[in-house]
Amino acid sequence: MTISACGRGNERVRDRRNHYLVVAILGTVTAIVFVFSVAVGPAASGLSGILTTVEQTDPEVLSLIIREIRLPRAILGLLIGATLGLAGATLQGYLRNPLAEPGVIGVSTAAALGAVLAIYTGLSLVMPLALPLMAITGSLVAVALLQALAGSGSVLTLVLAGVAVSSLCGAFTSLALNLSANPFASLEIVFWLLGSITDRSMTHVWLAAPFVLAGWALLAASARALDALSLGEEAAMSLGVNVRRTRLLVVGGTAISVGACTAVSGVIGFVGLVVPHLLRPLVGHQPSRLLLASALGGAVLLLSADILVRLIATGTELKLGVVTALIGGPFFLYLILRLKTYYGA
Amino acid sequence: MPVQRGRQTAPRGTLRACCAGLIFCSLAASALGADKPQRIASINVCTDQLLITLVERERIVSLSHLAADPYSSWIGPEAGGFYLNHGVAEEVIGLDPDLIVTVAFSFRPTVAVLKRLGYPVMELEMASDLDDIVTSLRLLAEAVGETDRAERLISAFRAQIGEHTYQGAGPRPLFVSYEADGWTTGRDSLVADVARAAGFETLGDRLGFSEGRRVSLEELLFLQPDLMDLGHPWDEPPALVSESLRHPALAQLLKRTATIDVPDPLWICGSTRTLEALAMLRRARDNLSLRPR
Amino acid sequence: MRLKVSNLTVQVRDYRIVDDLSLTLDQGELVGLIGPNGAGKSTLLRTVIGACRRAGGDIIVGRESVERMSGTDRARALAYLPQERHVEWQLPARAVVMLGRFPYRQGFGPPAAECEAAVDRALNAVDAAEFAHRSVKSLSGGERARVLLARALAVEAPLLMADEPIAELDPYHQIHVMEILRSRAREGTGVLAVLHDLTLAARFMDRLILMDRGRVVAEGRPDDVLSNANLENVYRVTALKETTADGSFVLPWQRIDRQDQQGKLS
Repeated sequence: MTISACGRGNERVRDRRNHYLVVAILGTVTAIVFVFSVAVGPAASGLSGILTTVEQTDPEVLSLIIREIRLPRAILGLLIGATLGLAGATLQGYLRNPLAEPGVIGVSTAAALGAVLAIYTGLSLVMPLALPLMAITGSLVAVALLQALAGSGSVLTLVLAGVAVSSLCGAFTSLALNLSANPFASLEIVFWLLGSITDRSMTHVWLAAPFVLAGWALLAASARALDALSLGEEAAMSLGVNVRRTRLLVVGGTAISVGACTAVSGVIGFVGLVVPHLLRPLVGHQPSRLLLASALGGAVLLLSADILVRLIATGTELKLGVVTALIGGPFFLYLILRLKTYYGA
Repeated sequence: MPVQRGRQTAPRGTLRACCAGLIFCSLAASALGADKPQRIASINVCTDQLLITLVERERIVSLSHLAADPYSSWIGPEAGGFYLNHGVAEEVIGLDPDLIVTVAFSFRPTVAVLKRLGYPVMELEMASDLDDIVTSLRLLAEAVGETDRAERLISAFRAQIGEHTYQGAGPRPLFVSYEADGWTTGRDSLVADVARAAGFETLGDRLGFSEGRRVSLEELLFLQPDLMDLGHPWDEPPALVSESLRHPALAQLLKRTATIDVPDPLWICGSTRTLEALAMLRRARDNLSLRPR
Repeated sequence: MRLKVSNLTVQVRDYRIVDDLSLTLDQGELVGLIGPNGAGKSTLLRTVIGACRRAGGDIIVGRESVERMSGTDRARALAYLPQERHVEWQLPARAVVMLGRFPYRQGFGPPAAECEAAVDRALNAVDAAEFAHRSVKSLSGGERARVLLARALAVEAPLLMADEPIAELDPYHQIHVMEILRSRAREGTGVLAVLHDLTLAARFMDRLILMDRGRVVAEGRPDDVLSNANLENVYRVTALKETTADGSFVLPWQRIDRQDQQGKLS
């Protein structure tokens, strides 16, 4: 039985157009949420009238607020959300593991440890670049540890190794903060382990952005190989994929971009887990296509969570990581349950 | 001490009176007929200050370790002559005190142990307004047997408060105490009471919150305070809090806002020296030209 | 295009999985690689595609040594169907087959008409056209095996190596796959397949290579290689053999329990 080239051809064109449509929609939503993020201010009790008093406010003040407070926050939300989505999709494609994401495998927590060491030892005051660099070092060490612990093990072995790395790094972070003579240090653990982009400034954007973009470039370069890797490492090698080079791109790209993000925002988890999963069916399950979609989806998710953080009025700040954990935690459980029945484990 | 500052959970009105009464009665019951205590230990930075105001040095056997910290207590160098404790039960018992004073709800396990072992413990409330300072002084004076001295101090205190209190009417300028990580005090705090007495309005008054909370930079910029107190930067050794004070938006805000640096020890804890904070604020009030709205 | 393996040695710690092994594969022939478990057959294939490290020897594809070829050139010359049947994502079967065109594609654009045509040919060859749009995970074992074979065929390489292509397939699909491999060989591809089914090996292969403990112990026509002596010494079984009008079969029947196996073969 032969295929009619015309009939199937239409299907392929439709499939391609669907994909462009998905990307276009995601891109538009990202832009909308970004604008909304810049437009929304904190609605703490008693200040709900603030948005309506915008006309009466000194335009200089308004421009200052937008330029120095809201814009950096929105840009960071975009960069971090996109990084987490992109890294999650890449890790899942490379490890062929639907439970992989930088938070779950402990890369984020290790980056936080690096960042904490940079700040609380005073190193980042002497050399501001020490902050992202040490965070990135933390991520790379985590990946090395993971390789040693899980190597090429099964799905759940990697998650277990990730839990181990995460706990270890979390413990050392707590230790470092506890030992600091600064009375606020122990309280700041909440920032590092739950994540926040409140009151960050453009300094943080400039500090993180170059590394984030470099990481994105590395991750994007691994995209095609991820498709071939769906068949397994050996088949991919036989198709000409340089698996070692792909590993360097994936690991390096993840460590650099996620490391830099964690350095300025603390650990934010679950974005890289949830977003690729939700979007995978929309891109025909193809790993390479999932990268761009997940980046946009991650940006949307994080920006929305950040808007939510500002709209929910509390005396102490609701941390961003709490919102993503509330969304992602149950999702993670659901995934594990589904995986269990699927693999019959 | 920043951690303690946020814990001003003084119950108001009748509840407080009952507490005070209860404490007083329990002390009176246990100390009835005894002489004035000769070996008094304070395990809290606030009671350190009250104690040293009322009692001669020879009768004080120990102060808390924060007494020597210039950012937490105005005792500072004077604390050198005393044994400085860390509020650990073993340590305190080793001093063989006949009275232990502290603030309610701090060091709860330690206080529980001490009470169980039969030591007389006096727990005072954190002052949440100027009147509370008077109440605390009176209660402590009863327990240590210095009621006359206390009354003298109190009348001088009240007189000076009267002098410095702002009597005018009309819209009040906005005073904001903006500490590390954006923490500001609520309406029901000593800082707010002092600010109100000096003729200011605080964020707690303007926005209507009674407990301390975090205020974001954005809110501050919108509200355009007339006077800000930034508090101690807490950047040695460095931590995240130090970063928040270097935010460019805050720098811009500070260019256009008058600032004042009231030493924290004057009004974290209520004491007779809280007057100095009031005097400083009142002077700033008088110097301030209200920004045209 | 010829695959020439000369004196290949693959070592893991002190143990030689492949020991000074030589073989050739030419276009147009269907060669069977047989031998007991652990003989080193899969390792041999994996070393040819570069997944295992050589301790010694040469692998030459066409006129060039494999290590001097770029990954893409080698991929275009030598297609490989691994034992692993697992495809992680719910890709449509057609997309899986399209992965066979990976060595010919660059960038993220849509595939060229040439590639689409190659995929069509491959799908037709394995009779998978009707379920090409379905997710590969929803297919039965036999259907999935054919799709993965189509993926290897889509490379349209002059040489094809298949590692146990008929494992876990029912008899219908086993015969079907063997027929596909044979017709492919007739069309000019050099096919090397690792097999455990001795009857199918005897029936379809032009030439058999018998491996044991990393070495080639026999090579030649199936009747010669599947001699009783080889079956006893290498496979440690006795077999029922019969030649009928339609064809011959080799049926392993009984195990031989011997203490010291030296593997000396006639």
